Amino acid sequence: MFGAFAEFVAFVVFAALIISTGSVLENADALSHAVQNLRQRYLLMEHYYKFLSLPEISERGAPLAGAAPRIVFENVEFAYPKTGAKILGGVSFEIGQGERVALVGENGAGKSTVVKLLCRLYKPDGGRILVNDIDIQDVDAADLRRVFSVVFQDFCKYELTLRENVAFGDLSKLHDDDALRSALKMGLAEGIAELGAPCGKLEENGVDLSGGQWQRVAVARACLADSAFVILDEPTASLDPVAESNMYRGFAEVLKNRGCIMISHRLASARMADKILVLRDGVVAETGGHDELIAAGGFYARMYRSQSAWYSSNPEGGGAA
Amino acid sequence: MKHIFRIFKSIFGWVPASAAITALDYLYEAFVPAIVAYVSVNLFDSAAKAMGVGGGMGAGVGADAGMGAGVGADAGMGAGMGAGGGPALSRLYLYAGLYLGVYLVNDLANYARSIAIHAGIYEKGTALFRIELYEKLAKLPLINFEDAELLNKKERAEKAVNDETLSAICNHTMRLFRAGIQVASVAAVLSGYSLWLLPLSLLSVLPYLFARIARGREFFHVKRCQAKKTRLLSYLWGLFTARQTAKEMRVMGFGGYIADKWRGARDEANEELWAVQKKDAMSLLLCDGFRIIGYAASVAVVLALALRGQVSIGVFGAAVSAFLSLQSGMRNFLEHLGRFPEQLSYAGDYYSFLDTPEEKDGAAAYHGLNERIALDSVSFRYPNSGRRALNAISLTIRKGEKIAILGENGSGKTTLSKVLLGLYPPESGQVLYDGRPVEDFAKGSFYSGVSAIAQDFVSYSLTARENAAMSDISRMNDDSSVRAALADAGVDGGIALDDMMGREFGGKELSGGQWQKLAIARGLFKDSELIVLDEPTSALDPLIETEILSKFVEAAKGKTALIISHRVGLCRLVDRIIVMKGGEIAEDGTHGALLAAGGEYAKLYGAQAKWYQ
Repeated sequence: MFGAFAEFVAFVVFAALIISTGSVLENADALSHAVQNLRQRYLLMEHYYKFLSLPEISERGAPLAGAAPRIVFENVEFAYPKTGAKILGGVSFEIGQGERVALVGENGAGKSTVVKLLCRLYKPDGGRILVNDIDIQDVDAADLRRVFSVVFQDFCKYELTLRENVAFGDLSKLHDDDALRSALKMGLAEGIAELGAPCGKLEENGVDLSGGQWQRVAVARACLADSAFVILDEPTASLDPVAESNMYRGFAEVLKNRGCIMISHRLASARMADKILVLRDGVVAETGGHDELIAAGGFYARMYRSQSAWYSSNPEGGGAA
Repeated sequence: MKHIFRIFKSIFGWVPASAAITALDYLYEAFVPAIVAYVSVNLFDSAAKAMGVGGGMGAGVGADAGMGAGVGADAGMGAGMGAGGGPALSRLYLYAGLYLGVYLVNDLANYARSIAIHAGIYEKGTALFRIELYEKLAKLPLINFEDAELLNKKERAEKAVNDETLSAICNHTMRLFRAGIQVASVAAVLSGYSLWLLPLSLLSVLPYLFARIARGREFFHVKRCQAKKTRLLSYLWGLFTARQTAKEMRVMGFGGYIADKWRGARDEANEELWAVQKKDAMSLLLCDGFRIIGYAASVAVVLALALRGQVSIGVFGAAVSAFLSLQSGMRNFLEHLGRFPEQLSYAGDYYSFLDTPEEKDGAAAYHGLNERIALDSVSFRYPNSGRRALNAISLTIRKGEKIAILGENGSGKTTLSKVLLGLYPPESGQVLYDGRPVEDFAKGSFYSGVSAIAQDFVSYSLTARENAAMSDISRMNDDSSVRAALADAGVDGGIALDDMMGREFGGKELSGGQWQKLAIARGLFKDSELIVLDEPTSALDPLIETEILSKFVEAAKGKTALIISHRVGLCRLVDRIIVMKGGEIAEDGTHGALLAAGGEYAKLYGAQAKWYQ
């Protein structure tokens, strides 16, 4: 009797073992999958943390004293990483408060690079950039924003509301309709849409702006901030002649007390500048007012003549300089 | 259903070997539980006999454990048969071997299938679906890209491809069949022993099935409604990661605002999903309850049957293990089935995008312009726009004419050029090349005969050679032509043909003007007799601008050229000037005539010229 029971128990254990073999096989498979999965994710996670641990730049820095910033470039050198070629090879100049400066030069002369250095997007390889005698690298980010506002050559088109598009220049004025409207006016962009209207194609009822209209919105964005200088990198490239002409005139009026650094291939814009800096071969080749540089008969004079020939009264004058 | 057929047709056509291996393995797996059930019935029975458990139990344990006379009777029969231990033992070894063999083959087949399914159906299949999608994109009329409705459709189709949904449907459909066969075959084997075993296990999982299907549909509905929010989310996220926007964001310091906006949109989207998922979890819990009760009930019933002697002890053991695999098979089946409506809707999106009417391609070959291009009261309106961008424009361009198009921002210059090139179909009116509507020409033939540089030209992070020769790939290796085009466009002589352009892949950093020169070289490289340039020199320095424009006019001798520009000075070089205003042609004539007329052109010219007096 006891022996029979023991045999029965032995059988039950045997059956249970057989049944569980199947599930063990299945689970072993699932386990190996899970382990493999985990290993892959773990590798990815390492990339994530490696990225997070890259050195950061600090937003905080020395406060900027004085309400009248003066900018000094001291022998600034710069080369794009891994290219070797120096794009700026010892650039020096000085810009005082309220001064209007035109930065001219051939394509690839380094004009936009100067702007990027001023915005602290890159660090100079040599020399120093000073704002009120403080190295620009040490200036507090918020303070620097009060010194410069900028329209980049490849300015952005935000497919958000017009209000946001303009207010990104100075978020504290997001709900200050009067300030936003007057900035739009400065950018010659008044009346293109309601402040609340979405721009672009993200929203179904978005307003489709043309290239020139977007550019004006970008200029309005830069005008919104009460910065000491407005930096404009090719602000009139896609504007029609009347708008271009109005923008030059508008700047002269609107920027009465503010300084301006303008990059433009339309040398007409250089005529309204107090000072023209001609960048060539990585250095400032010529400096002075329009008449002064024309009289000097250098590179600037040659560029100007080439462009004005298009408009001279002599019909055969168009063509090579 | 027809979507599933299309997917299978595609996958079996593209990766036949992988698809066949996968299908065969699934077919084998489909019968594994039934085979295992059959083998284990015999294995247990022969084991019981070899150990002599049956006889002993019938006599002694029967009363002791409260087991009914049934088992005893059955065991008695077994004892009679298995009087000699030898044959029973060899049967035991045979079934044990079979049992292990089934699993071994299963495991090996599993490996092969897992490779086939990942490399073939998922990796390669998805890549081919992606190609199919982009081939379709290339065939769509350009104007569709201005249409938010179609962009949404495209977004969902892309999501279907990116999430590998289509390959998943193929895989899951096969799994559905596998699970279906598993359930049916196991049920068939078990019902061979007792019909009672069939309905119980099936009924216990039915509520589960219905809940999954209903939830799946609702879940998808929510996701679909969220397409717009998803678009906003990915747009905002893109602002952080794009070089250009990250730059502005940093300089102007509004990154925090965008982050908050993103967070707000994400929270909104998540809340909706969360609500659905909560409901889903509750109903799943309920269904699982049913399932467990069903399982317990089936085990109880088969135990009762065993005690009454209606099934042998081997059947009892096999049934208990078969129920487990039946349950997990059913759960698997339902999980896939429950996700099916969602996946099928994505497939529906994919195919509805793939079935969007394509641009009708004309049949006629384009042999070049003989006499003239004529626009006959052409009007055009952008999708969802109330205003006509072009309003009843009539215009004739003779072969060999060089025409400048001027006008304020937004006056319709670029639109006119796109309608003229047949890129946008007019709302009314016709564009005629030598009297033949432009849509009659075969696209490939037509566009190989025209050259166009758009205002928003593309900067390719490729070599200088590729940037220039992209417009006529057949001459990519014609070094002297490529060099000539680069030189004519004023590209710096220091750039070698195979230098990499752009920082993206470690090439040269180029300024806006330098990129524009490359785009001009691209336009010049293609030796076509109709050239359209949209603001070709906006970013060029004055010396180069003068040089390029004069060279261009020189090179375009005998060719028909259309130049859209804000440089009024250029107009003295061309044969004819067209001034656009509010979508209409305001003036049309030569520099001298228009200047004398003192109209719109004179105003534009004066505005620019006065800065150079």
